[in-house]
Amino acid sequence: MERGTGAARRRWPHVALAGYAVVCFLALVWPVYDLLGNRIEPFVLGLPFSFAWVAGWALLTFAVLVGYYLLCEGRD
Amino acid sequence: MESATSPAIVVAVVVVYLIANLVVGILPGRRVSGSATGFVAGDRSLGLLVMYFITGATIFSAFAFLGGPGRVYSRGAAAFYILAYGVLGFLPFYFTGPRAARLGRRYGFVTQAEMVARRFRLPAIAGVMAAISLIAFVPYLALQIQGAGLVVAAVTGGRVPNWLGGLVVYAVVCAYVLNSGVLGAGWTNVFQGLFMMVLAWVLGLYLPWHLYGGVGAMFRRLAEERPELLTAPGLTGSGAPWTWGQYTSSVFVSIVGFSCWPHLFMKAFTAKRERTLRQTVVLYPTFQIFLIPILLIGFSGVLFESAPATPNEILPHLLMHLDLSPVVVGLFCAGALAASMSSGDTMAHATASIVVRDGLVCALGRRLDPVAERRAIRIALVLVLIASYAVAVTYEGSIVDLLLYYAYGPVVQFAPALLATLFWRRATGRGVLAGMIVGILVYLAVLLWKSLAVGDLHPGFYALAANAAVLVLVSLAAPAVGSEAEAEYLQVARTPGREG
Repeated sequence: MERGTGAARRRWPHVALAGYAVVCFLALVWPVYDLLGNRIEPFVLGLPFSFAWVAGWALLTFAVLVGYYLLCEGRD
Repeated sequence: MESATSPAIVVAVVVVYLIANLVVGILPGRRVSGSATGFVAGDRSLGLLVMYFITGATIFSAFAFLGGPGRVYSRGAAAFYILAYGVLGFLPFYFTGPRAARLGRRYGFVTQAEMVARRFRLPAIAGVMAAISLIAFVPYLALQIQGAGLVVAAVTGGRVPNWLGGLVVYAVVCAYVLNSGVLGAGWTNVFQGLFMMVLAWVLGLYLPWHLYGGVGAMFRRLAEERPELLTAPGLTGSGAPWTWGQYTSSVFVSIVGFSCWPHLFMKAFTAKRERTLRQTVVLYPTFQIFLIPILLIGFSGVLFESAPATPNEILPHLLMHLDLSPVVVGLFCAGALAASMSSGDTMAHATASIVVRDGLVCALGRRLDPVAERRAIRIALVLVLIASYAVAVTYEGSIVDLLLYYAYGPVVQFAPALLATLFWRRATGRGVLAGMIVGILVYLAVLLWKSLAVGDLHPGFYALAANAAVLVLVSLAAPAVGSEAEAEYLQVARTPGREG
């Protein structure tokens, strides 16, 4: 692994991850969740929107973490 | 209880599955030496696949399988908090895990408390952490025992009562942990985890389809008949609306507390590579996706024709009252039982080791030779299980609340100490110690006297705030910066290991 070179030295991925974590947390709790995600309709894949909203953040977080990992750890 | 499914076949499948599980679990255990170090050394080479399922096994315990559907069934969207906290719950470990791993390699730590106490050269810290671990693990274990009792009662059609089922299953757990260590290690967890994921999806999609004609059809009916269940923060146990303060603070306390769990945190000392720890964190949100079918199962029970005795029993109740293949029902019940056992044995073993190593040896300064230490761990194990069993048979609330309020409130008090130990140069041992003591006292006070608190939040939230504030203030009040040894300790934590 090429730690300390390239991406690992850049600051922005860390700042971006911290920012994402804050946004994601707020999206999952009051008041942002209540304002934006907390309703029954529209249904998404059969799930009420309030349920799909939370599940969607789980998927998005997975994608963001994969991106962060690849940026910071590089490839073998 | 009348069952649509033949109980004899279900019981037979459960028994065969559990025997197979015990054999798979005990055989690898035999090859590793029985000593405390052998137990850990056996884990030294944990690769990604095994790490993934071991962390996943913390989700696939009685908490998820019985507590999850039970909470949805009685309280609707209040259960979404479980899905929500797991999204970010493991993220702190991406940063704390590798640091702890480097320190563990250098100083040979086995427990979390050893790591904290070593930096500050303050054995009392290990003692306080051992006490808090005990307070946190007993309700977590009680939940696993209750879950096992519920499953046994369900598959035997109520002929074996909950208290007896829990007693028998955990007597077996106690016996094999005393003899050969934990069952839920390594490949058993991989097999178990995969099996439960597949079954969770099968049941989570089948039950709504069978009862309502599909997931979408189920939710459209619920939207007409019980819309209050479909929007957060859902309901309380008695059916009144739950509060956003409780929902939000529960998500927060669970996120902060999750990666502080000693049995999980200790994995940092056993993984093969730092990269494996990071990859496990990256993959963790995928486990949340497997909670979706678990919640669907709970929703499918809401409009079911009959109701279980308590919401915790909704899943076994559905399984036994539908015309399902007894083999599928048996496999699922066996899997749920094995999930309770494989989580329970790890927790019981961790608690006993922590009480002896951190409490007796580190904090109280007892010198124990390896034989005496093993004996002490065994005695502690039996006592911990007895205490947990006592809680399991007397506690009558929901399985989820047992974890959320009684286990997470204490365990989250480790978070400021762990962060300060790994990241903060100015932190002092006195600050860490004072923070944790104030934290656990505030937690207990708010739990016992709700009127002490301003507003209506999770008791652990007030305690966490007090804990962090005391840690920072007491640390900053000390005049000088710590010793050379502390500087070296932090240098070790910061320096990435050689990956190979």
